[in-house]
Amino acid sequence: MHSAKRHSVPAVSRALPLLALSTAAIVLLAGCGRADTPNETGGPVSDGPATGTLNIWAGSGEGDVLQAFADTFEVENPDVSVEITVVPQDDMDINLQAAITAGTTPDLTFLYTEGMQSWLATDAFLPVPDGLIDDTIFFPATVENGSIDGTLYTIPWYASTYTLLYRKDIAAAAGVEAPTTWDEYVPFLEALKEQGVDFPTIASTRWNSFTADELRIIVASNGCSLLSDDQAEWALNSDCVVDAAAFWGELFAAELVSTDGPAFLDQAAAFADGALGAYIIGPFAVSWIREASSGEFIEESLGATLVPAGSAGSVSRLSGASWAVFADGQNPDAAWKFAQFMTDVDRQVELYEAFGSPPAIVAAWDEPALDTPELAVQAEQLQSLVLAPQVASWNEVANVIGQQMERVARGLATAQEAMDAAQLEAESIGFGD
Amino acid sequence: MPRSWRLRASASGISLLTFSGPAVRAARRRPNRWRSAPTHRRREGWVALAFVAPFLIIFLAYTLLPAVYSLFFSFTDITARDMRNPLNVDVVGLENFANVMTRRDFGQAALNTLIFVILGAGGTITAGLGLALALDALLGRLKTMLRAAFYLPVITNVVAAAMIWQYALAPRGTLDRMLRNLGLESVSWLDSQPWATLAVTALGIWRNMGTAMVIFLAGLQSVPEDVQEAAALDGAGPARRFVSVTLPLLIPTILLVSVLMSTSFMQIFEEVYLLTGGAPVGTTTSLSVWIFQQFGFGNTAVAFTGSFILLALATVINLVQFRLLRSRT
Repeated sequence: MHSAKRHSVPAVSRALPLLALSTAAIVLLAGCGRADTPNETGGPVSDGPATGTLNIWAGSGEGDVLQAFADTFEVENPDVSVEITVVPQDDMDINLQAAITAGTTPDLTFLYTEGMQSWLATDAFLPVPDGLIDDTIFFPATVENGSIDGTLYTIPWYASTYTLLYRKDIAAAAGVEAPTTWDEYVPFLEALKEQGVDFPTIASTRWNSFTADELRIIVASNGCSLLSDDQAEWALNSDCVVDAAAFWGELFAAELVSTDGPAFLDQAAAFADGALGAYIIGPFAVSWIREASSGEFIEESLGATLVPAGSAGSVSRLSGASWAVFADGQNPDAAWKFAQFMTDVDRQVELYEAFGSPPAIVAAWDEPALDTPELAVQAEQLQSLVLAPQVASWNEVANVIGQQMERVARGLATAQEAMDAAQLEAESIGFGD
Repeated sequence: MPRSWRLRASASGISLLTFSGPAVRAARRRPNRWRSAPTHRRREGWVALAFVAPFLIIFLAYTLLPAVYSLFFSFTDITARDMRNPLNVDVVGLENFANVMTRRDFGQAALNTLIFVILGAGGTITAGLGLALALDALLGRLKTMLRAAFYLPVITNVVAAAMIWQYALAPRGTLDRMLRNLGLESVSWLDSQPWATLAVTALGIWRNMGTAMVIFLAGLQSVPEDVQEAAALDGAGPARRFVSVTLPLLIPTILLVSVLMSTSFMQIFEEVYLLTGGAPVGTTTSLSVWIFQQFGFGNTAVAFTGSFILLALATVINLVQFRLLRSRT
């Protein structure tokens, strides 16, 4: 039988690719090693109008109303062209991560309060240039949340907090007042349930970071923290945190909250329908409820009050967004000018009117457009806030907390077991320094 | 048909016609001085290279180099914040691999993925084979129409499909309302077990069964009609003919579909991400979703490490299947 001659490859030739790879690996390995790299500076910003193309990535929602502001900015700065890319909220994080990794970032984006510290830890953003803004005009928590080691990296855009919205008509029919403490909260929800409300309240079990935010509100109102007293380590299984998790879990056990509650975008409609009795939510919900109901409904049925108080009083969490300029962007000068442009009081009021997001500038809250009972409660709650732990790994640890809290909600673990497991994982994650 | 044309069943089950007459065999043995000239071989080599160059460039740029890059960095402590100075990292050896393999959430994701592979690949093979057998028995325009209809999910946008599935399976969704109208208890399809796993698997099967069906239809063409007729003459009924004739001859095709579907379900991502997001309590988080989450947390080295462990697992499963494929063919 004839067999074709096989061309043998010399051993040296076969070894060459391996040799090349090994050499490349050794060169790379030799080049590796951590060294301190100075942060880039954020300024100065040039005088005169903005020029060139300004690329902005905006999460959907606020991003949908941003074009009107960009149009005004272009009128005031005729030589600039603003390109806005609206990114679906759920995909924003991964898009930002990919852009930072590949070095293909836009010039400007806005970061949400909750994950801001984790994003700033990527070193992908420039510090705010000296003298660009007066940071004392903003709510102090917004400035603190956008700073690392005293250096401000973001320009606050809007700020709000979570308060308790409830059906005051159903509460009146049940003969109960809005709860002022967590102890009053349970009988209040039970009274709503007796009135035939399907979901006396809601709690997040699908969005882990939201679940963690709910926990830290209860923890803070009980006068403790998710971090140890010296802020040096996680303290997720301290007695205080476990008590807070147990309280949250008992709401599920008592069937005052359901893991099958309305999804985020359905909550306003459920509230207007009377299927949902009360929930702790941001000010945007008021405009959603308004869309899902009539004007009279808001007058007669919507009640707003502070988050129930624990031993340390009523505490809520900061919500909102701030502008951040990318270090790898092509036009930081125009980016800073646009961020500065958005801090004008009139524009912050316009944003509230367009999207329901209240201003980050304290003085803007005196404007007539913001004179509503719900915002009066917001303004009071904004005086008593807890920030997310100011560590780079918060997003990841919040995910762990959310997963473990879900086990509590479903009766798969006690609060102690869940928080012990969360602590173990958080310790292995560390602070992400 | 001339004797020199032979009908052969390939590994894929698709029939191949090869010409192997005496003249051809003689021509193959005949030395060809012109063809063996080194210059001609070189020219042929360059032409061949030109043809494969577009693929090679894309493969190198988007597959091989990123794979080598990520393999290298899986031995470092690189995070998202290091991406702007990627060499400003420490080499940690196999530490990432040891850490990832002992993590509870990674173990849970690996177990979930294994369940998806077993249920998904098994379900797709069963559904695809069932559809192929049913269509094979049909004739004419109806067969063409149904074949196109069953193949539609393969080319349907998965995001749109998942949204429709989510709407149907959500609390107070279409299915829930139907159950309530029938006076039955509602079921939390996407937020309780085993329903969430079954929902994700069902979407995966729905997406892939068209591909399996087409391959099985091709495989059925390689089952000789005369063998079927002989079995029928011997008194074998349809079920016996399927078990004793069709199925043994389809084994290479079944194994091929099994390899393709196992690989597909090993990498299951969209179905989980769009339908359950990993809920409840991480019991539908697949390895691909876990890797994606780590990337989102900025744990770049951990994500790279997870990717290579997934690659190793997929390779092992595929090697086992290929070994089976070879032994049965």
